[in-house]
Amino acid sequence: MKKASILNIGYLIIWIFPIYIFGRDFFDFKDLMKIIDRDTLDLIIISFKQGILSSVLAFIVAIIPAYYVTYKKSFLSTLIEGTIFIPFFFPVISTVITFSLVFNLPFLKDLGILYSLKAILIANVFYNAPLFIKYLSLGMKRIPNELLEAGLECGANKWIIFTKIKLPLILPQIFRGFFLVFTYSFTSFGIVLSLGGLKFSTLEVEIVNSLMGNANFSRMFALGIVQFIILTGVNIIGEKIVEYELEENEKNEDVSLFTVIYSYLFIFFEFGIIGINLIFSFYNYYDKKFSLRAFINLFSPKFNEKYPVLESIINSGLIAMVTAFIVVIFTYLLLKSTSKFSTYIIFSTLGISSGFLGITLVYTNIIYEIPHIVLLIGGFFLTTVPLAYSFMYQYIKKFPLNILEASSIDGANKLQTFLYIELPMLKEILIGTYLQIFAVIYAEFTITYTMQLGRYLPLSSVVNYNLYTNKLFLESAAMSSLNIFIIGILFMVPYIRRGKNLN
Amino acid sequence: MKKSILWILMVLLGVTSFSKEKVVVYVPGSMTFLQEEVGQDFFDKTGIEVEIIGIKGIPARLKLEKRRPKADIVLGLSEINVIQAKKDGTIASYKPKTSNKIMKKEYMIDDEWYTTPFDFGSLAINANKDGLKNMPKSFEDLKKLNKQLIILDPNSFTGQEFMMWTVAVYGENWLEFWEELKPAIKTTAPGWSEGWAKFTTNEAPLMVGYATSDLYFDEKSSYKSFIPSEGGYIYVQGASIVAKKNIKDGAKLFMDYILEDKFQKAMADKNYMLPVTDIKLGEEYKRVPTSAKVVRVKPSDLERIEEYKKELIKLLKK
Repeated sequence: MKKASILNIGYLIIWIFPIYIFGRDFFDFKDLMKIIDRDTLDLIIISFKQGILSSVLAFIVAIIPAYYVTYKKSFLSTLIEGTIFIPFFFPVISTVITFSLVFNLPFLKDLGILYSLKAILIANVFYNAPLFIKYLSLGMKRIPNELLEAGLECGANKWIIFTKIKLPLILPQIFRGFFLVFTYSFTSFGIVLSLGGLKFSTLEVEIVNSLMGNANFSRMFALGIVQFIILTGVNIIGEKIVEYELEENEKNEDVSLFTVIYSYLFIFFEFGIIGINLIFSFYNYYDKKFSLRAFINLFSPKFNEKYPVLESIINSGLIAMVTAFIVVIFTYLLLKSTSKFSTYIIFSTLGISSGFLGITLVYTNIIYEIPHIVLLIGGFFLTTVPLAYSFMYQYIKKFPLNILEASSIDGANKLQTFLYIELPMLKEILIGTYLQIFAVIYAEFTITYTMQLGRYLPLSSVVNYNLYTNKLFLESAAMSSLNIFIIGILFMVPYIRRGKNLN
Repeated sequence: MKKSILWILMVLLGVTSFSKEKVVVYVPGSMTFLQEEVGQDFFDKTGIEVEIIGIKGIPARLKLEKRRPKADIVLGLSEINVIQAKKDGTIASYKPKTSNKIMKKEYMIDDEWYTTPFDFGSLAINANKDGLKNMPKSFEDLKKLNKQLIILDPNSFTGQEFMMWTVAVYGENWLEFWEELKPAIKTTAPGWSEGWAKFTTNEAPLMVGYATSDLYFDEKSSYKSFIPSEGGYIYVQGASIVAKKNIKDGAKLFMDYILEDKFQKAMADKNYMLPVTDIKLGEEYKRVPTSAKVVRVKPSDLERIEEYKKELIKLLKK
């Protein structure tokens, strides 16, 4: 059996097994018919509406900073590129708290942003614009300079060059980014629930409500099937878009003052939200005073007896380290031997609700006593492999075959080829992907919240959420700041190393 | 010979250790203090260990674990939860030996003892006087407000009870009341904790909550709850033994224990709920608003609760 088939089947088994067990015991097919009604249609419409609007707005906001990053090498470019980590390491709960506080400020309160679609869109743009910047700048960097020069020589003006040369070449990247951002926005839970409210309930919110609230598991399963069908359809369309086989090349061009100012405003927006969270870890909203009390509490043994902050940070860190490693290795092996169905199989998990996945994992533990940690790692594995696949695809697939062939001719086995040829050349992308997957897992909320592992295995995102719901806002903000610091340091390492290598 | 005796002793020790009972109790997240408050006391009295586990959505977890229950006891079931759990066959009947300590018959949720009441609460409207021109006094007064009230998702426990409160007050016209209340609603929070966080950060001056919430604040603060003049609403929380093949003796002992003074006092002191037995409450409880008039939900309305929730959610989403 081909390696790709084994990996694909293994992957399918990991996600189908818990869902099958749950469906076998709780799902009644009649409920699938029952949910096809006006209410479900409204949920789907709202999910699509906020998903599409969020994606389009995130794209529009990202265009100019992406352009800046492509054509200028400066500290500002580094900062803009650094925002890619925000969707992965800035916890949803911190985003929700910070935006709630910001939208409640006296000069913004009367605008009625909170509990409206506006709040959801702004928060989704905050999270997803950096993703678009990554995809757009990648697309722009891959436009062959020779084509642009040829266009100029033929007398084409900037508009013609943009519409006839640049845009068609970056469209695949735009669509890739769009489908990923749309999927994230469509399945958004914390932001929709806390910043939008009941009126803007999406399918994902309804799924979690069905299981936490009225315990209607069959209905929840039926809604999960609907969501899966929709998102799988969207991802299949996304996979039909074929990228051009182009390589990155250096770009250097003057950018307008407007581009520079806009890029600074974008940075101010992105890092401003993080900065506000940082400030609220020192500033007591009630006393209107600054204090270090929150940070002191986080490290206090007595505080940790009730809110295991330090234990949760260690647990989340270790689980993220191990799972990210497994994900990167698995994705590398899969990409080395992809079958034509691999992409569809991998991206199928993007169609599964995280809340739904969480509850099926809980049920698997109940029935088969599989340890929680194993199930948790499995859940994180399923939700992050598509991301790793998306990041690594281009680099693994486009690895120069002639080098591999030469190595094979020289008598190197696969392991030697990997260690001495591929690893040195792919090191940056593997490390970059590892760190991004680490951050996603570390800050993941929905699966960990649904699985309710608090007592067995405290995890950072849920402990942070508990601090917030127990009115310990300072401590919650302080914990977010601590997490940002930990992950920020990790992410800065490759950038510092890259800077040293360039010097 | 000595070796044989040693081995026998070791085996006996192993058997007794192996057979040491542990009672697993699922409680709402807000009640995990019970481990510290009563865990040791229960062990000292009975020699049985108790493990308190906080779970969000206990009714859902009961259903999920039906085939292989891990819990021995669940706490925090409402009347509606008990009806559903009985239908699902996930709880068992047990009348505690200490049942005569329950002060009033009105606290009883189920006459067949599928659940034992262990505390009760009174819903109220929590208010921050600083954010209000005039303090409302009734449900009708609430209708006159503009985006000043935080309500809770009817899928949450408190949200559901508040909905039933309005059903008890307004009867058939309860949905019309909500239609008229809509302009007064600032937001629908997912649950009590989230709603409380929004209320205490002054997102809105009013919130649907509990009468005992005033105890969180200083007496001189601007936070003062009230019970609408149409009548107060009491809800009782119950504890049940989980239905399983072998119900542990320790589980029954714990059910007897929850009506003892130590447990009842812990619920009053730490959970800000009112005891069902005749224990003395602290002076601070005199601040808790009460109502001479109390409304109750008809049994026929309890049967239709899922239908009501669906209708209300539909209305709130418009």
